[in-house]
Parts: sequence; C-alpha cells; structure tokens
Amino acid sequence: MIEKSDKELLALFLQGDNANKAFSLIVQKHQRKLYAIIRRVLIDHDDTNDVLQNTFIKAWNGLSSFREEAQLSTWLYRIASNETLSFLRQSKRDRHLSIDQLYTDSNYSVGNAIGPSAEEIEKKLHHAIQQLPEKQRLVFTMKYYEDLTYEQMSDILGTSVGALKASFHIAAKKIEEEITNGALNLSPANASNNK
Amino acid sequence: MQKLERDEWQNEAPVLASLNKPRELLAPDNYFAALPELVQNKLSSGKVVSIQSRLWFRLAAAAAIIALVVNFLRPDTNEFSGEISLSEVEQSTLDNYLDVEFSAYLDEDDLAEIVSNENNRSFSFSASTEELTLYLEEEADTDDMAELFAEN
Repeated sequence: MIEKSDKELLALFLQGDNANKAFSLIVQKHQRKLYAIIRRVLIDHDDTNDVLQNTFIKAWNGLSSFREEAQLSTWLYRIASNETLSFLRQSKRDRHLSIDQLYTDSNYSVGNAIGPSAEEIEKKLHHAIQQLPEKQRLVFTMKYYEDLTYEQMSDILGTSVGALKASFHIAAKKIEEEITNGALNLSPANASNNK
Repeated sequence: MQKLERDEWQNEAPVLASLNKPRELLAPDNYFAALPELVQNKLSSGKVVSIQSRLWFRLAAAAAIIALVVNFLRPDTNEFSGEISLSEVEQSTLDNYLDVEFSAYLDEDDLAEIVSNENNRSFSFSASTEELTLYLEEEADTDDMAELFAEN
C-alpha cells in the first residue's frame, strides 16, 4: 500500500467525515520517529509513552487550525519537543535511576548486539547526556542521534541556527569531558577499537 | 553505522566523535501497532491528561502572552505596565495556542512570580522593553502572537 503524503492526510482530516481515520494514519506515519527522539531524551519507555500520547492529543486539538507554512512533521516535532521539555521540567523523578534501570531491565531491547566494553561506554555516554540542561539535551539528541540539520532544528525549536550550533558544541564538549574522565579513561584510539 | 557529518565540533570532542552511536532504544513488542487506537480511545473518552491543567495557570499564561504581545507591538515605550482583561480573549483559542506552542517555556514557577491570586482574571505586569524583546526573539514566534492578538 502506498503511504499517503502529509498533505493528503491533512486534507482527509479536514474533510471531517474521515477525521479519525486520517488522524490514525498520521499517528502511524510519525509515531516511530517521535518515539525515538523522546525516548532518547527521557530514556524510560513509560515516560516516553505518556509524552508521546500527549503529543498526539495536542496535535489532534490543534490540527484543524494547522497552517501549512510548516511541514506537518516539523509541527509534530515541535509539539513533542515542548512536551518533552515540559515533562523534564516538571518531573519529580530521579532521572539517573532510569539509566541504571535501562541496563538491568530484562525488557530492554536493542537494535544491534554489541560487546560489554561498548556497553560500558554507552552507559557512560547516557549518563553524560543526562547531566545536560533540558534544552541542551534535546538539541544534542536531535543532532547526534537523529542527524537533523541545524535548519530543521531551528524550525522545530524556534531558535536560531547559530544558537543551536553553540548549544550543540557546548554539549559535545561537556560530554567529552564526562566520558574521558573517570574509570573509562578513553582516548580516541581506544574508543575506535570499540567499533 | 552511519557516520556523522564532518563538523568542527569533532575537533573539540574527538572521543565522542569516534564512538559508535549508542543502540536504538526499542519500544516493547506491538507498541506501535496499538498506539493509534490508544490515542483514539483517549480522545474519545475525554480523559486527556494536561500537564498544565489548573485554571489559574492557563489564565495567567494567556495573560502573560497577551502582555508580551502588547508590549512588542508598542515599542515606543520603554516600559510596559498595565492590566490585561482576559474576558476579551476567547479562552479556547488561547488554551490551544498555549498547549501547542508554549508549554515548554512557561511553567508554574515562572508564573507564580507574577500571579498572586489564582482567582483573578487579570494581572499587572511590568518588565523592561529590552527584557521582553529578548524573550520574544529567543523563545516565541512573534508572527503567531501578533496574529493572535490581531484576531482579538
């Protein structure tokens, strides 16, 4: 089956009769990418699920007034980003627990099998990312994990490209310091051996 | 493994740049198959969880936005100080706008500083033009707010 474009789905939604069906197709189309970025920031699946559902509910409430000046995907990313930041700011949970749980949780599924040494590095990287301020964490995640361009991020976050570059550079430098300090004591050469 | 585009940050963080990207964090089995229906059920039941659900917060947030717009559209004054009446603004329009666009930027702590009585439907607000302009430039979509203000 050929996937409908966002424009077609939006038109279907606005027709009214098929709004529910159109919206379900929008959810199906965008849920994985939104989940991935929210999960990278929040780590915990249940938190991610809450934020993702809120994202789609707010999208439903605002979709009838959505203006096509922005792409639908950009608009959805923007809602998801706002929801994620709100969650982080208001969450009373200890975020660091989520990371430790992630590595002991039997339900944790991974995309590719890797060795224990790489896992240790990965854990350290997760910890380092969690030390970043909320918005910086989101910027780092969008760039590092999702490979979004600064221009795309600017559209989503409403921040200038220059400010985003600065934010990402500062985040990368902080993480570099975090992962090169302590027990791992990595050098670039050693880190490459984990590939 | 997809290689990151070559960028100057890699010179400042060579270890990070040389690492493999960590693994994808996968959702539980069948999660994505079930999510569209879960969202529809939530919409149908009306049991929507709002992070900012308290009425006073919504009213104060709406008033804060209007105050910022008023000041932004009147740059001839160095200081804004006035009283905003929310009765002039359609609540549903503001609720939706705030939910979608501003939920990350205004929280209860921020607004507690400017709201003293949760039952008030108006509040007084004072800030320098420079502070508000900086806020608008960094965090807000001024076209959207100007349009919202014009509509009301």
